[in-house]
Amino acid sequence: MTQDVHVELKQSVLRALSTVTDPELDEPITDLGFVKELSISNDGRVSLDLVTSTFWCSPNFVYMMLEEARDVVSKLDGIREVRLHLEGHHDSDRINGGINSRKSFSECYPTEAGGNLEELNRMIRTRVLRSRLHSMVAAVSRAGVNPSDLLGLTRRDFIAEGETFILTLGGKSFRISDPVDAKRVARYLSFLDGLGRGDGPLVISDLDGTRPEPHELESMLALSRSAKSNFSLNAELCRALLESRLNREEP
Amino acid sequence: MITAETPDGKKQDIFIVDYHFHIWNAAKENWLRPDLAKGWINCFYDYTKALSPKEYVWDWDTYAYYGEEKALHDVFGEGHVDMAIFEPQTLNYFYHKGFSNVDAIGGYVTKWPDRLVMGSRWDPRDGEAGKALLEEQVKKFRIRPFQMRNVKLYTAEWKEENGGMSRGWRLDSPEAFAFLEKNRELGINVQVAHKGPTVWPLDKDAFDIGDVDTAATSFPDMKFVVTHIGLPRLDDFCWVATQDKNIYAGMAVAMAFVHTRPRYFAEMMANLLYWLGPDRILFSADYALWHPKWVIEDFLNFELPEDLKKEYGVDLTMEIKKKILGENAAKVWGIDIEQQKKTQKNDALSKKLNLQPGTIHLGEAAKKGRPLAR
Repeated sequence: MTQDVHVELKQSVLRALSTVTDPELDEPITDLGFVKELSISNDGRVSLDLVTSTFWCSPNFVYMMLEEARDVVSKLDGIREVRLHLEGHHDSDRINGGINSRKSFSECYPTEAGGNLEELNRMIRTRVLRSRLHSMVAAVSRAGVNPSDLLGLTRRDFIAEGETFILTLGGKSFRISDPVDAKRVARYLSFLDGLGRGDGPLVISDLDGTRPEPHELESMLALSRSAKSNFSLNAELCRALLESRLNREEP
Repeated sequence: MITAETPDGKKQDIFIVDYHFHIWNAAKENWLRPDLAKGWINCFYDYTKALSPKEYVWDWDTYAYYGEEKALHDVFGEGHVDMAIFEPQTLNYFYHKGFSNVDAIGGYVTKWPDRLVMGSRWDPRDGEAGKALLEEQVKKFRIRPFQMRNVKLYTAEWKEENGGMSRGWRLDSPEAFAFLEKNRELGINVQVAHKGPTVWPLDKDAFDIGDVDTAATSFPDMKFVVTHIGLPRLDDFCWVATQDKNIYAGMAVAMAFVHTRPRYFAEMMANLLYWLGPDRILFSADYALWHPKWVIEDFLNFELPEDLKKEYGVDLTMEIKKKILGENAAKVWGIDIEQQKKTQKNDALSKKLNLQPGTIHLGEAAKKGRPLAR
């Protein structure tokens, strides 16, 4: 592998990792500082060192995150093998063994887990939906759209144009051009697309794609707001804890 | 007791009850399983460093074990607190004599019964022996009407069981319900539920408070305090607490955001006030994670930013702060504040520490927190 190819491959691994979020925070693990060390051998073997914000992060969420990290990197062209190494976690050895031998969570914890992580995954994705919905609604409100007018729209009423989004509503166009707001819209829409609901209603209240009734909107938005607050509080705490952790001297 | 003086010259006495207080022992001699015991206290230390003003961070050895004298001095001498309630987290799998030791707590409470409040704990996996112990503790330590009224229920406690290891339990199991029945019989009517990183079985969400919801619905005569306001599931907590009026928001950990992250603190307060209202929020500095002096002073100086007041339709007035700081907990534990004020004027601790009424001047450094970058 030439130097250039090597650098490029490393970048594509990092790009892939940036699509992996901490399920409890809905933020990329690369932004959170969880990726500590990445090395790639000349024959395409990746070794990845990861750290979480505490010694006690729940094993099930850590497992979800690591499985996804392993899988997105494994899929890349030019990668032959991926070895993950989670450091400083109360169950590091078990988790590393399970991930690197491609065991499912219940195979990794045969006597302690009652099943795999589908239920947990659904719970987390419902929160992500709510939180991203809140952010999208806040963004379009700032562009002058009344949230209750969103109920009649479909996903396709949003069109991407460069880095901005255009929402067509009652013959009028609203442009979301503020970069942070545009990103909020993008994150919500990509979640809808990921659910396979790219042709459905713009505003949905659950993973089954249910369109809320007008009288449900207010309480749904209040719930979405608390989901957003919850994620941002958790993420801020985790960033602060990781910083403390990395700057701590062992007793 | 502290008197708060606002810039308009108005003075208010504030009686402070901290619902979640510890004298722990994480010194190396007490480590049973060193990796886990060390991992536990180091994690606490990281929390402290993450959210404290720098001058309040102690050296590691003091932090691991500070003892009774320092705790009394910090919390009652410097820290403005009038009553502190123990919430023992035993962690017997990690520490020889427990992280907090219930017998030791009994000793402290017997010495300072008008300041320190005895709370115990149970674990449904302890069976009949656990119930008998609880009964004994009530007989021994119900030395004031408000003593032995609460238990800390830490559902992520690890325990050796039938030759294996169990990493937790749920509050809605038949075994836990049997203990709740026992609590009812013994008048232990405050259940302080605390979630941690693991639960049985391990694939479930350890932080899910669905089991607290079920228990609170089944025992409507009891109060359930959810520690650190359900974080990292604040949204679920708010939703459940809106349905069950016997669920309370315990501010341990959450409170500490007030100093370095006031905007985040503002957002959590706005959510709590919106969903629960002002009567079911309980203050704690979670000593020795954080020193109550700065937590209380910052909280008294804190104001909700205008944009959040408008968005959520709530406010955090001095009246509401007084409720959060003490009046709400006093109601939950059956503490008569006026009676306690009289008793404490001359109690053993006020003599020992020569406690004098203090005044804090508010308004000069109101902390609001700027809106976060959109």
